[in-house]
Amino acid sequence: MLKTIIAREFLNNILNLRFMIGLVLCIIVTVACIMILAHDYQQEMTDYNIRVNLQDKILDNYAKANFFRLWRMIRLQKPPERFRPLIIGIPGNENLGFFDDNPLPILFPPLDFLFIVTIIMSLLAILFSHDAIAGERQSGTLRLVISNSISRTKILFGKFIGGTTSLIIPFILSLLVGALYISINPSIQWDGSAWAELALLTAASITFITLFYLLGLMVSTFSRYSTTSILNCLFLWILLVLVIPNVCPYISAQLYRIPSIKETERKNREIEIHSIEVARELMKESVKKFKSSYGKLFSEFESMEFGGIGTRFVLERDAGPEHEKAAQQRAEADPEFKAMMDAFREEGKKAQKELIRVREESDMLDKDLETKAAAQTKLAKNLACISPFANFVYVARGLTGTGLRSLDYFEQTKDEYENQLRPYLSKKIDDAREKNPALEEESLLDVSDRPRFAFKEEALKEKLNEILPYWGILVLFNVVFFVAAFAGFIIYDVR
Amino acid sequence: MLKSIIRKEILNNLFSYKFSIIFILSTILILVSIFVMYRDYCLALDNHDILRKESGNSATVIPPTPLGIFAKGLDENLCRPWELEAVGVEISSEEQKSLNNLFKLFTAPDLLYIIKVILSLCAMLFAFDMVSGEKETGTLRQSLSNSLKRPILIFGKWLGGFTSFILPFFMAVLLGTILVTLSPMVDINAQGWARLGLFILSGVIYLAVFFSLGLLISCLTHRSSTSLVISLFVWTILVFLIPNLGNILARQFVQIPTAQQLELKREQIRNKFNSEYDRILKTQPDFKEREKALLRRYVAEGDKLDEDYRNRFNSLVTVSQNITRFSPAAAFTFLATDIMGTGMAEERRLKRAAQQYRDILLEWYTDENRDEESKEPAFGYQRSSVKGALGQGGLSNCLVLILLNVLFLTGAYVAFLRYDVR
Amino acid sequence: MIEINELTKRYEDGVLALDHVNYTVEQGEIFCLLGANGAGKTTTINILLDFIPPTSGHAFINGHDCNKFPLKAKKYVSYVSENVQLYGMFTARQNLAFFAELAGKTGLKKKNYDDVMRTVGLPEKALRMRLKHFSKGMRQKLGIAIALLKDPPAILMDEPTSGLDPTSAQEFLAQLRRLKEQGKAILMTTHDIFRAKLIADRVGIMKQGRLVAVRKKQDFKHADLEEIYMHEMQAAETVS
Repeated sequence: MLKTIIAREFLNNILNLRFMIGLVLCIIVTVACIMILAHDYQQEMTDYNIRVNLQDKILDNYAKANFFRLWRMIRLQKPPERFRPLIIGIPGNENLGFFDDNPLPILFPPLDFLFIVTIIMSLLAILFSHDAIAGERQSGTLRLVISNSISRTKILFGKFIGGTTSLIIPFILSLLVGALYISINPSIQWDGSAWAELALLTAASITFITLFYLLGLMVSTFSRYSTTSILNCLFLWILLVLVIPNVCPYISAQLYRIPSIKETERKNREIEIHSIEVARELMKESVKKFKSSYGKLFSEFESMEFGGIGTRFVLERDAGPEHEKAAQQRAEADPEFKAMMDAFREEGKKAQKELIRVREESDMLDKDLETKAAAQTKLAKNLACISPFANFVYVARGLTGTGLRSLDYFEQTKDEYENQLRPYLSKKIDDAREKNPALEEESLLDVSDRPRFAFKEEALKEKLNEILPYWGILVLFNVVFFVAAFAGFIIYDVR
Repeated sequence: MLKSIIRKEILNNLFSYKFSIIFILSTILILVSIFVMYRDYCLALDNHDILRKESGNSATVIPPTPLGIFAKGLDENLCRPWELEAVGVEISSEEQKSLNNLFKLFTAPDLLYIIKVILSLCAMLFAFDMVSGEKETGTLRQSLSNSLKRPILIFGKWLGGFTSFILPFFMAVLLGTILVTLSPMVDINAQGWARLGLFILSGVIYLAVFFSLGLLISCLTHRSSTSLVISLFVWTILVFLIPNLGNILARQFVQIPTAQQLELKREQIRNKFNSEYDRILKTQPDFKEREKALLRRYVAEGDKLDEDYRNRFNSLVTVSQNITRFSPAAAFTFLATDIMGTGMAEERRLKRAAQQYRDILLEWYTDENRDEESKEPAFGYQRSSVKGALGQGGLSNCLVLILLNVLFLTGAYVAFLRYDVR
Repeated sequence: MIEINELTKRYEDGVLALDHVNYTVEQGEIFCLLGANGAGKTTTINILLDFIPPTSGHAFINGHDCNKFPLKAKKYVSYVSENVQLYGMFTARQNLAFFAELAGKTGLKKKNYDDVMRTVGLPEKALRMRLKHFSKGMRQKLGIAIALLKDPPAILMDEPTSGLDPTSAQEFLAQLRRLKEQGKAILMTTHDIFRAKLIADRVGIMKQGRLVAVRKKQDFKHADLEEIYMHEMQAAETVS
């Protein structure tokens, strides 16, 4: 009996205009999309290689023996995500951004596999299922079916399986064509883990699509007419797919207030000023103390602008290299002068420690802001979980390394590399200085043997840990909708 | 006769289930959108105030526009603070960023988005069964069994149907706008109101396109379930596929390096400049002249790079716009963002202004006769007037929308004249 | 009043729905068209209402060609369809008012509506009921009420008694008799031989697009109309 229902539902859909339209739309769009994005990926790879070469050239030709200038030359490049032929990632350094970037993607979010599943397939699912019950009631066939000895559970189950099968087929077909294109494309090199991720992505997509099929089925069991049913389905779809996910970040920004940047900036400035005042007071005390202890010697020292110790913004004096030199020479000539200078330097260090300690408060403020911001993002993410669309986006982007997590992961690998590079550069400069004590900061440095940045994809296991809860929510939605559809159908008036 | 048809159509819609749902949905969405974007605007304004205070007169950052509440467009991009370099312009970072990273994953739910995506679907849902549905119930036959001209019937349906559809939209937008403008943080001047009015008008024209299209589909089908499927299919293509695919397609025709690559090339030039600069002995008598000459040479090299990039970029935008223009959604996006001053035209204008400011600063800096006491010229920028924005191709987008309206309405008219009402 | 002259209709798929049909319906006459499904009865009505054009021949209402001057012709005719649906969310009064306006009848007052409801046997309070709560019989009566409000000289009815219970059908026939007395020309298509016998002045029997026989009342008043019908159908079979 169940097999009969499944087969009939399946055939009914296939012979329907909806199926033809869905099939055509699905295949054309998916294939076109993958082909265009694959080509796009090639261009991005070319661009990436050019950038890496440029970066190398800059370092090879202009690396100077000045750590800060050298550090400024390092700009690590992120290669295009390997899943880019399917899913377009989020633009990376959005915080920094570039003045000359192309803003068109802001106005028109690009079309990719995510879009195909979340918009096209979910709409198709609703189209297939919204009149599964209400439409059959209207045409009178539901009465005929139920007049046989078959349980309502079997009927519903049969409809679900038959319907989703007829829906998944065009989807899988188009994905296969796309996968084939990717595999024969020489510029896209996918290893085993990438194909595994694709398989998982397909499974997640199917969970998402069946969710919407069940939504339509559920609404159908609560409607008498298919026109009412489709209207209700579409409005639910609009809310779940188009509205809730887009509104949640803004709502969470209202619900979980973080100190405004204005506030934090103001506090930081206060702390900075306060810290300088504290250090200034300390130094002024030291100056007074030293004046009374060392008298004339100290006055001489003062005329040399304290040899550049603790001057600038603390003692508000402009000490040049000549003052430093003069103080150095005097110290070499007069041991008492040297002792005083050393003692004064100690005082300077104390004041600096005080400066650092007070400034740590400001660092705490920044960290606090960061933590609160992360909490706000988490709240937004959790709020958006009401929408299956958001959950699927997290799963898909998490699996394929095209989401926020991958940006964080890139930062992590960047930090790891920088921790390797920093000591290498310092050592290089020190070695060069050792060889040539008269080395100037403008002298060129050979850094051709530097460690190279190699971006690795995050392990699948880590990704799975992150996305499984969201996948679980999708499955939960499936269960809830099926149970609701079941409840609705058991009491449904078939006349 | 026409009045009777219009009246019947309006009344019939007012009593229908779909009207109630669309009314509730659009009211809630519009109000939520305006409120949410208003708070976003307040945040952006706060950030802008800090930046202004920090940099004082030499601030190179423009304030967000309150009209961004309705059509955010590229406003976030436009309001980034930037710094001039001899070669190129850089975005100065940290202070202004959305701390909530989820903004990157989803689209801003401004009024533009609500109209473009959601209300256009609602318009088609309103119209898809206006003819095929009445055929199914038999009332079409009943009406035409009287001496009633078909053109009058179809126009009456369009007028009555569209009026009943657009009313909730108007009321919701009016309500939302009033609530928002009561806030002291939102200051809209006379030009701003004119812009807002034009924006809403363009929204109405846009929605009329989809309404007419829905009616056309209804006149070409005989069952409302068929009209529905075709309407959804067409809506997906026009609102999502063509604009979004069109942009990726354009990139295949116009080769353009990424902004990161451009920045690296500039970095290369800067390093070259620094090396040569270091080699100029400061003790030489003509040091200052040599320094200025060197600066001019490198600025010229950077300018050449920029010009090449900008030309390619402009042609990319042109190709993109030409491909996507067939979609009313794309035409509407361009038109609306240009009207509100948050579009591509404004973006191009700002970049040009930054370039000009850089030139002015360079002049001032290398001017030998400069008064030592004179202050650095400040950066001043006013967003373009509506006339200016529309003049740059904005009107053609409006024309596209009007033409599409005429096309679909004519199609519906012709289709209905031969429609089999049995 | 209603004149069918050599009317022929061949559809695009080749089916000959009407084959040189000729007859007239005079004022004060009820003419019933009998025939199987697909005989051409509804096609005739569709041509009279200019829903489809004839392949050849003419149909006239009050002397106006229905295909050449449809708007003029439709001024003189009312239509009651087989399954009267109307606007479900409107009340009976709103439906009546709308179709009366289309018929050119403006300035109707409450009295007019009350009268017409009484005439068709619907309670006055039904004026305020929404159509979706009407039974089939009630809707049929309202369909006639719409026709009455227009008050035309000719009325076209397509299977008006199908699905009606005996009481409603009886009331319907009484209504028809009153209309006939007012001098209206009524063309009615039906399967219901029993009621056709009770009400018709003349009966036309159609088979596969041809009018195979026309019988006057005196021919079938005391005879079995069903037998006559079957006989004519068989005769037509032999001829073809």
